[in-house]
Amino acid sequence: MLDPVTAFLIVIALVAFLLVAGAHIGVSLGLGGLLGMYLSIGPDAALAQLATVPFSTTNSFTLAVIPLFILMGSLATQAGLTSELYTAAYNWVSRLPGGLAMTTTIASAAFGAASGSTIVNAAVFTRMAMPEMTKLGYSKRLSAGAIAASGTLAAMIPPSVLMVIYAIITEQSVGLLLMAGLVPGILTALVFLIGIYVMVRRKPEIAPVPRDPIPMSEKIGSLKNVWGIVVLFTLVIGGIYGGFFVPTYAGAVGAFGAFVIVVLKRRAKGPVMAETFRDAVVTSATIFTVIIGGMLFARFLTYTGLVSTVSETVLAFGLPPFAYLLAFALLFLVLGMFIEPIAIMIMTLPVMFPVMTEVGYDPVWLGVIAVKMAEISLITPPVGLNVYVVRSASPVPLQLGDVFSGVAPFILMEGLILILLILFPEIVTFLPSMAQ
Amino acid sequence: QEFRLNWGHYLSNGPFLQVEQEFIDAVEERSEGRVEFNVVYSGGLGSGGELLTLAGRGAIDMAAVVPGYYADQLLFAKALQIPFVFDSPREAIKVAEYSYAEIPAFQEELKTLRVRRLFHQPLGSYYMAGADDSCATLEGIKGKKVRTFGSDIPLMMDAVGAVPQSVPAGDQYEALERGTLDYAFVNMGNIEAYRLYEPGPNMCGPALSMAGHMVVIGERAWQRLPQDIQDIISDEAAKAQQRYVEWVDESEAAAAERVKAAGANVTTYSAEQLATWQAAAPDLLAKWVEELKGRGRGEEAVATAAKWRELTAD
Amino acid sequence: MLATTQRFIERLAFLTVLLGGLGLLISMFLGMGDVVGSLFDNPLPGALEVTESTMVLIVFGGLAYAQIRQRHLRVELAYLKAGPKMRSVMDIIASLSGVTFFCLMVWQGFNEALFSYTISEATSGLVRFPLYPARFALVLGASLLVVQLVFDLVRDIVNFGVDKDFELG
Ligand code: NA
Ligand code: NA
Repeated sequence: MLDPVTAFLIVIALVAFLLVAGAHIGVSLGLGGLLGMYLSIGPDAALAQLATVPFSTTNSFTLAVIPLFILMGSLATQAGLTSELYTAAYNWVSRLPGGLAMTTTIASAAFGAASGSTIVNAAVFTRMAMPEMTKLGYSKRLSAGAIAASGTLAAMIPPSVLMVIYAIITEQSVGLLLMAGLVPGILTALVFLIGIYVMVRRKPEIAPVPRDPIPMSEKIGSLKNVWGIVVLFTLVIGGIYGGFFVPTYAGAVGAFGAFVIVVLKRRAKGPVMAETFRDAVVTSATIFTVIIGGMLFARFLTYTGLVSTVSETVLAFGLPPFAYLLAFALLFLVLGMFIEPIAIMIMTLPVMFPVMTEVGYDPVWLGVIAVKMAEISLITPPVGLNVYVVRSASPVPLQLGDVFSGVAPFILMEGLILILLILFPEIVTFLPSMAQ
Repeated sequence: QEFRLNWGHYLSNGPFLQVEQEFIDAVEERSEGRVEFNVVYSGGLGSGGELLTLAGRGAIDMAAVVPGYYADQLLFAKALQIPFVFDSPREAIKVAEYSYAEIPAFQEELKTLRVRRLFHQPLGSYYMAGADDSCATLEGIKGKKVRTFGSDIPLMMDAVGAVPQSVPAGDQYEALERGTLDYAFVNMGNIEAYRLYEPGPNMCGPALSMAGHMVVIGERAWQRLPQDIQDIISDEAAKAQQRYVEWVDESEAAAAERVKAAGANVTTYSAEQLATWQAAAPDLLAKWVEELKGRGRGEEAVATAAKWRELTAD
Repeated sequence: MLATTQRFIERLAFLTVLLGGLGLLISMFLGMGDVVGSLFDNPLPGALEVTESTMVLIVFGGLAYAQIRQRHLRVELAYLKAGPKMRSVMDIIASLSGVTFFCLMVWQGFNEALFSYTISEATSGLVRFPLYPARFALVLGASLLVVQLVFDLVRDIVNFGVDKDFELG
């Protein structure tokens, strides 16, 4: 049997090789974990863990919230909530400086209250907003940047798959974490709006104003259409907040609510409905592949005892808490350049979470920070999932480079928000603390 | 060290695992460091439902196994968790010790699964804890939502007209506070640990005593160990078993005192009340015998139940 | 030949996704039903157990279809920069690693499923819900993915170095 450190180095080399070669992230992590257990404990350990992990990970009531939240977002899209939100936001803010970018930000944030997936948000609003902005003469960079960045709001504003995964890895209350994301999510949207305003004020030519003003009656009229999102949000968050049900049931209730809205709006056509469910199933399958692989990888790390050794060593430096926070953020940022956020959480949290809580950081607050870092990783080059999604969903030709330079100012804003959350942790903690 | 034993635990580490920690310390010390335990808590090496498989296949060396999680594999061991069979944790452990020494079926089922039993965790007796004191009478429990788990405790609650609810252990406080649950149903140690006496200061019991998890060592890990170390482990396991019972009695009593000092009101059920309750419930031990008959193990189950009734008769 | 095989696998994958969708629908209704039932002190027995089993159906039902639609999460950085030959090499590595991982999973999962069937493994609550169907669903879903991955592998080898469409997201 190899000693843990040697085994770990071999495993890391394998995982890095597979990831760069473009193997599935879950497969890379899973094979790495299996090889590690094979080398350091023996073939039986590796195979027995492979025998139990995939089933016990999926046959789980707690994790059932993930497909249900995904379904809720897909159904809400099918119900046309996205276009209604977009129209309402358009009617109210489109004539402000950068109004169309603001429209997207507001609509995407609002839709985040029904959708747990940043990818869905980015794709839907690219298709909706990109042609409109191009027609009006908006700079492609601003348009694509605003869409890609505000798409990430879905990860912070509850419901959120990422938040659920953080809660499960760190054994925190899913309900509290979901609530904790609400205020930081809204704050992020506000900062984006201000940022857009400032950018456009400095360079008005990047965002022309639509010619015709919109009559007040139409503005108010479009508000009537946003009831769907209000109902869904109230059901899910009200249900958790009021302690009526556990998050898995919040997922079921939210999905059911969206389902009813689809039916009421007479959009429940067989083929479209099948497509919606199929899409939710496929998305869940891809997420769980990563989770299963990540679990096997984590089991290997647990066997070696490296996690506790590293945590203890790092803590033994006795640095001020802030230094650990900085290390946490940097680690996330660097990994986030290349790897998808669920995998980053599964890989880093087992080591970083005990360290961070030991030096005194609040676990719920840390969840928001982790999700914020994940949001950033979705738009940082060279691998930013949301940037790719905007590029590939755009009906208007777009260069990847345009989107990346478009999100650059938003990454700066995200950094600013991160600082705010660190300086004023109450932004995060006051809402969940009221629920306790 | 020569032998590093990976021990998968489904519970998080805490003071209630003190006796198991003492067992670890004693073995490490007496083996003069040749044995080292790598205990991983909170399911880090495998969740509660995986540990038995993992230990049996040699993926981990030791495990804390809850028999109730393996109702189709630990046919005999799970009987140690049947309500209304034991009067106290001490009695549950006495019967467990007897069964593993004298009734071959108990050892045999573990042998098939390739693990060996070292000792059992005795669970402190269960009390109901709720906002009002209607649990003091069996009439009062009627219609109340009580937290249950497994398949037998719901039947026990059903017998007095209570509504069994499945609520995760960690959610009991909130559930009591919001009224989604009228009574939690756990031992004093957990009433204190989860601060259930705050939303549920009225407690009634003890209503249920049973054995908890079983600490097992995989057959392969065991065979790997030399005789002298096996002897140390067996010897310390026996000591741990004795100490565990004393410790549970002491710590549960202490927890009860602290909970009372915090303003809780504890009603003790009379022997009559418990007998009435038991009479209202189906004979769960007999039900277990029926189940095992269906699985072709009727003869051994009948003999076991008869012996147990003899051992637990007062 | 390749096209016919692909159509056949695709049909099977479509069927398993459909089953997954059905599972999702069931867990949605069950969850809702249990919430409403609990409000009237009448929770749905077995809602939790069935939801757990449908989860396996959802995840493993979607695996193969996700592969066909290139939806599995990968790090595309190097892939995007690579030329057609390098891309083929990378595709082969990706398929091979997937085949290895999921073959092992199928092997181990099958043993578990068989054992579960032999002992009539069921959930331990008041409702004894059998577990072996979900365990076999895992094996079937993962097997179908293996078939698709092997198919992809063959195609990558046959079309080595040929530029192909690559859709992100
Ligand atoms: Na969201
Ligand atoms: Na990135």
